[in-house]
Amino acid sequence: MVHPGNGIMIRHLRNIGLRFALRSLRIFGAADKADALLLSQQRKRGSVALIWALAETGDRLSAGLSEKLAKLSGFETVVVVCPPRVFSLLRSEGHFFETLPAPDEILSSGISSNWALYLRRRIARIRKNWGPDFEAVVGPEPEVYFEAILNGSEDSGLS
Amino acid sequence: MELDVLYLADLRFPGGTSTSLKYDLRACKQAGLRAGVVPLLSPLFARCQIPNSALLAEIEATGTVIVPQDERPKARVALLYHPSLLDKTVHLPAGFDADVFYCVVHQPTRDRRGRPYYRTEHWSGLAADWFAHDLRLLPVSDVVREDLARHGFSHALHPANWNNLIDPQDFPQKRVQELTSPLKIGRHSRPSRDKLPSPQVALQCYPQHPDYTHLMMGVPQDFLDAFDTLPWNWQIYSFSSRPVSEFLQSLDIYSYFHSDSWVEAFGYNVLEALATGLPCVVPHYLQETFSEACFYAGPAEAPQLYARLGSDRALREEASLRARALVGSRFGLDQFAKKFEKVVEAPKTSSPGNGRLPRTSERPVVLSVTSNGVGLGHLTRQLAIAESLGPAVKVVFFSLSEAIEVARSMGYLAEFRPFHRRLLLDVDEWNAFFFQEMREALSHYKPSLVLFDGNMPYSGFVDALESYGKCCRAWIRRGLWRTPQPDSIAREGFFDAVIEPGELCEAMDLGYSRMNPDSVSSVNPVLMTQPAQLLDRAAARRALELPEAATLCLVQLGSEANFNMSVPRELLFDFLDRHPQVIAVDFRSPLHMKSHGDIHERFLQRRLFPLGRYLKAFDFAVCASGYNTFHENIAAALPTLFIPNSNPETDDQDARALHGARAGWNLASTAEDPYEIETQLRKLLDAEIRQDLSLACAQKTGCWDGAGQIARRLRIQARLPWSTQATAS
Repeated sequence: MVHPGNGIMIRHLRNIGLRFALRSLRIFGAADKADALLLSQQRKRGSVALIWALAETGDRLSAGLSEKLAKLSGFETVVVVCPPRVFSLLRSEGHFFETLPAPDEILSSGISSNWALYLRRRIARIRKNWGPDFEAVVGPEPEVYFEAILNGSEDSGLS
Repeated sequence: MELDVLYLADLRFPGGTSTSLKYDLRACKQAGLRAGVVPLLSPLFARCQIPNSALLAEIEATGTVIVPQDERPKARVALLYHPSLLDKTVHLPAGFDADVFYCVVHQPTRDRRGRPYYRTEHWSGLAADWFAHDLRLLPVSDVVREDLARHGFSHALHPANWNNLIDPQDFPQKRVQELTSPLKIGRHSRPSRDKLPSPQVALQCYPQHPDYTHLMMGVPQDFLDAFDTLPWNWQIYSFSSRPVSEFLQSLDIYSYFHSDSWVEAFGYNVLEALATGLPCVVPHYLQETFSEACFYAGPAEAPQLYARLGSDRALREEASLRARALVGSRFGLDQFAKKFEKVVEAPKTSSPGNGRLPRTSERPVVLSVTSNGVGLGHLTRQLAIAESLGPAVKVVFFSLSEAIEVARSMGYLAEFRPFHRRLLLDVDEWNAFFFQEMREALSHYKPSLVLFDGNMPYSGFVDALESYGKCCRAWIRRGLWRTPQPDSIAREGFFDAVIEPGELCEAMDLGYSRMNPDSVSSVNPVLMTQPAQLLDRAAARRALELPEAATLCLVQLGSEANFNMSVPRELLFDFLDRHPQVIAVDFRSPLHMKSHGDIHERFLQRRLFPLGRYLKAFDFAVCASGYNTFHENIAAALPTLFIPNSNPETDDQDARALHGARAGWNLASTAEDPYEIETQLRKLLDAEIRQDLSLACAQKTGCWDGAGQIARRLRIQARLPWSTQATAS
C-alpha cells in the first residue's frame, strides 16, 4: 500500500534524479551516438531524450505528456514517438517526433505481413537513430502497446 | 483467370507494333474472344518511355484485361508480342499457362548490312526455361519469314503469319477526284533516321519540282540537319502532330522510301495509306506483303509514277479500289478469328513449367511516398490518386510530410520519417537513413507500385528502389519549375512512369520539367474534389457551421513556412474593419506551427482537410496560388484573389496567378504590394465582378479528372486490379 504522500515524494525524487542525470551527462559526456543517423554533429554532442507516447489520443497533448516534456526541457533534443495528430503541437515547441502505426490501424489495414518483425526492427531503429541518453514512457511501453502483434504468429495473417 | 489470347507485350512501341496490337485487341473483342495483356519492358526503350496513348485508350475501350501482378493466367494462345522481349532482361514473375506459346516476330533479325536488330542466340533456351514452351515463331509477314528461315529458324516457324490488322472505319476512304497541281505526295513514320532514305536518295524520290509538294510527318531533326537548305516544296510535320487519318486525307499520293539498310517488316504506315484508298508508291520488296495493291519502284523511278498517277484518274480509281479490297480481304478486323484458329491448339493435359502459384486473396499494396514540401501539395495529389485507385488496392502512405495526419485521418495506413532540413542533417547522412527505412518498408509491404510525388527523388529513395527491384515505380511531378534542375531530371530513368499533373496555365510553363518529352506524360489537373462533388452554398455553410447570411471570405495563404504573408494578412484585417458584413475564415494547414490567436473578431480560424467539398460556402477567397488551391478554386468557380508565394524554392506561383488573371479566372496581386492587394480586395466586394470571375472559371469544364487518368494509367502499367470484384473472380 502506497501512502498518498509517497507519490509526490517519488515524483520529486525522480525530478532530482533527472537533474542529476543531466548534470552527469554534461560533466562526463553523453552516450556514444556514432550510429545516431538523425542527429546532427552538434546534437550528437548534446543530450537526447526519447519519449514513447504511443497511446496519445486527443488533438492536444495529454497532461502526462505535457508534464514529461516539461521535466525533460533540459535536454537539447527531445523526440516523441506518438500519433501524428499531435505533430504540429510538438513542432511548435521545438521537439522532434516519430510515429508507428497503431495496432488497430495495422489490423484494419488488411496487410498481412510479418508485423512483429517489422515493429521490433522499427522500434530498435528509432532507438539507434536517435541514440537517446534517457528514455521515458507516457502510457504503455512500446512492447506492451504492441503486445498482441509482437506476441502473435510471425506470419500473422492480420487481414 | 481464363483467356483466349494472352498478349505479353511492351505497350511503349511508338509505331506499328503498338498500332497492330491496338487493332488486335479490337478485333479479338469483335470475334467474341477474351484477351488479356501482361505489360513487359523491352530492352529497346528507356525505362521511363511513355506508353503508346492510343494503345492505352484501346485497352480501356475494349475492356481488355490487364493481368494483375499476382495472377497466373491460363490462355489458349500466349503471344510474346515482339522478338526483343525474348531477352534475358525481361522478367515475368507470376508466369502463365497456355496451350500454345508463340513469339510474334515484328522485325527481321538483321538489317540489310547484316547488323542484328536483336539477339537471337538464346531464344530457344529462354523460351524453354522462362516461358516453359518450345520456341515457336509467328512472323508478321513473308519478309520476316524469309529472314528467319535464312538465319536458322526454319524449324521454329509456324506455317501461318500473324498478319497485322486494321479497322478501315478509322480510315475513311479518300474520294478520287480531279487533282490540282502541285500534287500532294506524303509519307509518315516514327521519326527514326532509318525510316528515311539518305538525303541524296530523298531528293530523288521526293524531288524539288513545281508539280509536287511533299508532306512528311515524323522526320528526325538529324535528317533535316543534313540539308543546308530544306527543299522548298517539303512540308514537315512532327510525329503525331495530327491524327494519321486526317494527315492521309490531305494527300493525293502516298510514297514511302526508307534508308537502304532498313528492312520494313510489314509497313503498317503503308497499310494505313492503303486503308485510306491512296495510291501507294513503295519499294519493290514490299510486294510480298501488299501484292498488287501498291505501285512498286526504286526511289529514282518514283517521280515517273507520280506523273502517271497524277494524269490518270482511272488509274487512281483502280488503285483505290484495289487498296481497299486488299485491306478488307487480308487485313480487316474480321480476319482475326481466322488467324486465331490457325494457331490455336488442343489443350494440353498438363501444363509444363512452374506449377500454378497459389492465388492470394490479398489486395496489392501501393506505397505512396511523398516528399516533405512546405505545404500540402504533394500529399494532396497523392491522396487524390489514392482515392481514384479505389478499394481494389491498399494504399499505404510513407511520407516525409509532417502533415501526414491528413492521410491517416482519411483511413490510410500512414508512416512518417523525419526530413533532413529541420534536423539540420548532412544530406548524405540523411540519405543513408532514408535508404534503410525505405528498403525495410519495401521488403515489409511488398508493394506492387511505388508512387512518388516530389521534385527530387532522393538518392536514398532511388537506391532503395533499385536494391528492392521488384515493383513498378511512378513519379508524379507537377511542372511550372522556376529553374532548370538537371540533377532531378537525371533520375527519371529510375521510374517506369513520369507523369505531370496538368496545369491550367501550361502556356506559362518554361518547360524545365520536360527536358525529355518522350519520358514525361501529361494528364489533366489533379483535384481532390471533383466539381460534381461540391456541396451547394447552404449545405456547405451548414456543414461548416458558418452563418447563412454573411458575406464569407475564404483565406488560405499557405503554411507560411517559407514566405511571409504578413502584409496580405494585415490588409485583410483592415478590410474586415471597414466591411462589417464580411467574415473571413482562415482554414489552417496542419503544418501551421501556431495559431495567430484572436486577431480579429471576424477572422475565424478552422482546421479541415480536405476543404474542397465546402468551397461553395464562400463568396470569395484570398489564397496563395499553390497548385491545388489554384485548380480547386477555379474548378469550383470561386472568385479568388491569388497572392503567390514567391519563394524561389516553390513552383512558379506568380505565373499561375498572372495567367489566371489574364484569362479572367481570378484576381492577382503580389504579397509585397499593399496598394494592389487593397484594390483587388475592394473588387471582390463587387457582386458583378465576382459573377464575371465565376462565369469565366465555369467555362473550364471536363478537364478535372487528372487523378482518374493517372489511376487508369497506373492500373495498366503496374498491373493493378480494376476493382475488388476483379481480384475475387
